Amino acid sequence: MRHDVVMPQLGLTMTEGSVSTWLKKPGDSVRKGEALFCVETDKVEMEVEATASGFVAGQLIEPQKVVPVGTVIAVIVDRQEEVESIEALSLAAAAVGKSPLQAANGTTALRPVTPQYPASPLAKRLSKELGIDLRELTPARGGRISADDVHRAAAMRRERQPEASVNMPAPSQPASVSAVESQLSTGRAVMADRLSESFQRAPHFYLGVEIDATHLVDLRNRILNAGEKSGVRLTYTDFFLKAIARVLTEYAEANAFWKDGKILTHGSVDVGFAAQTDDRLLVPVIRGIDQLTLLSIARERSRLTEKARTGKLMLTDMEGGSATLSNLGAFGIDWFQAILNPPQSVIIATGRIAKRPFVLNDTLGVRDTLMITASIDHRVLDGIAGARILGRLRELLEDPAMLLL
Amino acid sequence: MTTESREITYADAGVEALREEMRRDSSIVYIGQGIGPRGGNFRQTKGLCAEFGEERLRDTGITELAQTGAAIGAAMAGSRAIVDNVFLDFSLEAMTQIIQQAANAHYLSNGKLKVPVMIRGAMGSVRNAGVQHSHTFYGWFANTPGLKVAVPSSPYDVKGLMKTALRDDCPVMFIEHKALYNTKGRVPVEEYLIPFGTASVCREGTTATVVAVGRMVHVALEAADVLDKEGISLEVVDPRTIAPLDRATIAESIRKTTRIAVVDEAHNSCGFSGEVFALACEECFDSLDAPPLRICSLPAPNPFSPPLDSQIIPNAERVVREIRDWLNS
Amino acid sequence: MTSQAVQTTETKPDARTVLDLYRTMVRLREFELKVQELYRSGVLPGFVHLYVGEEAVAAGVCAHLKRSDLIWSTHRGHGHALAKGVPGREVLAELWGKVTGCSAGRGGSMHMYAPDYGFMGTNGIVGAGIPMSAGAGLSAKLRNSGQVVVCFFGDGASNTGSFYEGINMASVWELPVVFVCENNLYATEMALSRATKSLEIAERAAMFKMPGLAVDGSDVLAVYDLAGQAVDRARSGGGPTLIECKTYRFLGHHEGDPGTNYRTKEEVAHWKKRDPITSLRERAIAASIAAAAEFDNIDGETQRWLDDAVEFGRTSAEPDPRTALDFVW
Repeated sequence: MRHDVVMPQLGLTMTEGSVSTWLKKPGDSVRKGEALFCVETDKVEMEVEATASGFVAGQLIEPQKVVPVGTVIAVIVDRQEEVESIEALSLAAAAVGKSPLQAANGTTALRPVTPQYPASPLAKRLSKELGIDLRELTPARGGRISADDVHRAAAMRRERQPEASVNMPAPSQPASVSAVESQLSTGRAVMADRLSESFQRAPHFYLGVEIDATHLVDLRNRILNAGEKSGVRLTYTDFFLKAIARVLTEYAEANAFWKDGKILTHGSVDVGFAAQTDDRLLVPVIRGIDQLTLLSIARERSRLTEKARTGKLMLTDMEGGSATLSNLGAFGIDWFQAILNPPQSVIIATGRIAKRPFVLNDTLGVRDTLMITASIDHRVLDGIAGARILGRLRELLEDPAMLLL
Repeated sequence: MTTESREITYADAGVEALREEMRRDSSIVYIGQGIGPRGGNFRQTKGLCAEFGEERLRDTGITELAQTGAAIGAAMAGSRAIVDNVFLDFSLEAMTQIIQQAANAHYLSNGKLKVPVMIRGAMGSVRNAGVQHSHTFYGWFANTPGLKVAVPSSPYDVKGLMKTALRDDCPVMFIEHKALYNTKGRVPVEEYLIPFGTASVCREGTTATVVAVGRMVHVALEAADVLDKEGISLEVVDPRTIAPLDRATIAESIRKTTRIAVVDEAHNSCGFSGEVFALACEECFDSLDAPPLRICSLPAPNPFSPPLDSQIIPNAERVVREIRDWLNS
Repeated sequence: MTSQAVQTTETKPDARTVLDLYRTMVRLREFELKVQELYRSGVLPGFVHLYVGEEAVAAGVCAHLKRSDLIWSTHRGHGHALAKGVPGREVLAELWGKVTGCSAGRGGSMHMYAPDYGFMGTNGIVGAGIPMSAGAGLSAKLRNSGQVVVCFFGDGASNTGSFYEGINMASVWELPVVFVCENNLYATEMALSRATKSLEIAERAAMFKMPGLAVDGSDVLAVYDLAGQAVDRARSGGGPTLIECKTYRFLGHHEGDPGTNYRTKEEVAHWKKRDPITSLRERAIAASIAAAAEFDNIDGETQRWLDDAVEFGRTSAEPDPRTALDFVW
């Protein structure tokens, strides 16, 4: 008897992944529950356990090859004698049928399970002509990819990628320098795709303020020790997160996102923050942040950052989120414009708090200031709404005592 | 159809063709049971005996073997002969003459002998006649090199095709459908011929091509009307002759709609419906957006009792249902 | 063994007739023996059924026929073809599968057609010619062409449905057909006496109210006489006749069958003693109708004729494979 090992779904939004390492080889025995392989998604790398005991048979899918969730990637057989009988691995999913989540328009971007479907001869021909990968398609009707499905995918792709100007000559390489290709991990590749998509789909606009951070600096200094006694080191990030949470609570229209022509509001306030690791940017999310004290936020922020650093972040730690904070102050950046973290409508980019020239009471002086830039999805919020939100953020951070209210 | 036309029955269309051709060609002799003074079991020779006499419209005994052989011999000897076996089923008694003699003589004599014989017989079920009177094995003749096979579905087709048959020097199986003899259709007053190997697109459509033969053309059209209301636009193609077959028209239609279904009163196994599937694969493979569908008589000898019989033979309701399911699968 | 046989007429046959009949029979004999030789040497494809011993039938019947008269033959038909006037070259080349054969090599022994000589084909289907001959007779009658149709068949065919249907049709329509049954007592290996109780085939004509006459098939003058009456009757509108020629084939059913598994050596020897060729020669010389030298001349002439045919067959070209699909329709 054979047990198919499939690419697992490791998070609600995961649609595809690759095996980064096989921990067993064909012929090896394996116990149910024993780690069999590692999976790399756009957000995380993690071990996956075998779901059956037996012997690893047949061909294993090659590492780094990206396949849709549900694809058969290995086979476990009950008895050692059966190992030889499993022929070359077929990439087709074991069962092909209607997915219960199938939508009438058959979009695949957010579909959780995408087994491979057979395609009609016409669809195959069109897919070659139009450069569409049939493996990415799910039939709108029935169990077979039709010409319509291919045409639809091509149309969607055209929407996302407006045609490049045909008049621009291709940039040429200087003869003496040849470009060297870097090895892209799955994570970076997928992140590149997602950010490209976000940047192209959501109409970004940017609002910036320079705030007087004097009181913020002062407050933090005064309660720093108290925080450390409770086991956590307060950072400006924590204050920013608390302020953003308050703003999202007060301005529900900012706690919303664009989907399929509609604006949907989140049921909770969860804020993510950018945490840099060695090779990639991860954005863990603090859930129900509007209910948390500053200290709890700090604790949570600290815990998640540690997880990110040690590669232990789960996909569930990073899903969702109402808005995101990206703080590059520690890297010496004064201000920057961040790219929205899809499907969110707001991302707050903060720079370093530094002494800068500042006019107060018509007098030029030197104050601790902070530049905050909000990137906003114009489909969800317009300039005035953005200004209000950013204005309130400024209020809360210029006079952080307001956060007590 | 250009000029003036009038509505006549399918049977009368054949009579008109015969009258015109028998006037034109005095060598035509017509033999069969009841085709003389009686005018034919299906009125398919009504009035001809009165005009041409019993010399040229000769009643026979129950002798399909001899009468078919005689028609073949007469044709080889220089006459143009028509043998009417009335029911296609009764041609079985004469198969050896049709397949072993008529089909081969022209070829084996290296073109020296011609066999201008038209072998007539109506196929299909009518009024729960039962299996022995309901056969639809027109495909067998199309599978035999040397024979031509015409399967008209309308009075217009009957007249045009029969006139062509009676000017063709090859043996022609002229296979009408029993249930259509009393149906009516418009037929031009002016003379016209329908060349063999020209299919008719009876109904234009875009969703799928439906090839149908004989009475099933009407069943397909009826189903098309129903499905039209559901936004399913069927293109119905009637081949009119199975040999020669107008492959080009059928293929062009399939390429246009990308889907092919066949409605055939013949049984599915080893029949014309399979031939259409083969054509779709051979000529339109890369245009196919769905597997081919065939709706044929179920594989059982036609039973007598009406509820059983209606199970076997395709009807509009079954065609609607099966095409709908097929398009949604 | 047979009993009833019609005697020759009292009138003394003229030399011309005798020598012509002799010539025909010798040609048939020598031709068939040569075919046997060629077949055994492996140069002739297919099957052959040889006419040796039955020459008197073909010769006696065909002597009365014009080129425009039509004959339908059997699987044992080389003799019929030659007697009807199809050139020996064309028959042999046909057996050889050469393009110069009367059917351009497409028919071979059992499907050779030579319509230019009124030879409407040998036939592999026993009895097939009977209905076709009736039809040809009908055509001749309708066209008032004055043609006579002769249908050759064997005792085997006399028990087929075609026999009854075809002859019945010819009799009821009073068609100008002479049905010649070559009763050589065996259908393949089946003795007539085991196949039917009706051993006097000529008597069967009575059921159709048609003349049926038996004749000693080894006596060419008797055959000639009777056939003449039948042909005249047909040509003058008197309708069909059934002639039963009691004859015998000296060789097996087909080349490869020794013909002795189901027949006794004594029986074969008995018939060989009554060789139609030698008996005509002997009788004619004895009655001073013609001299031995004249017969010898014919023998020599026949040899030259045959050598020419063999050379022609051997050196002729084979058909071009590209013509394989010509004349299907």
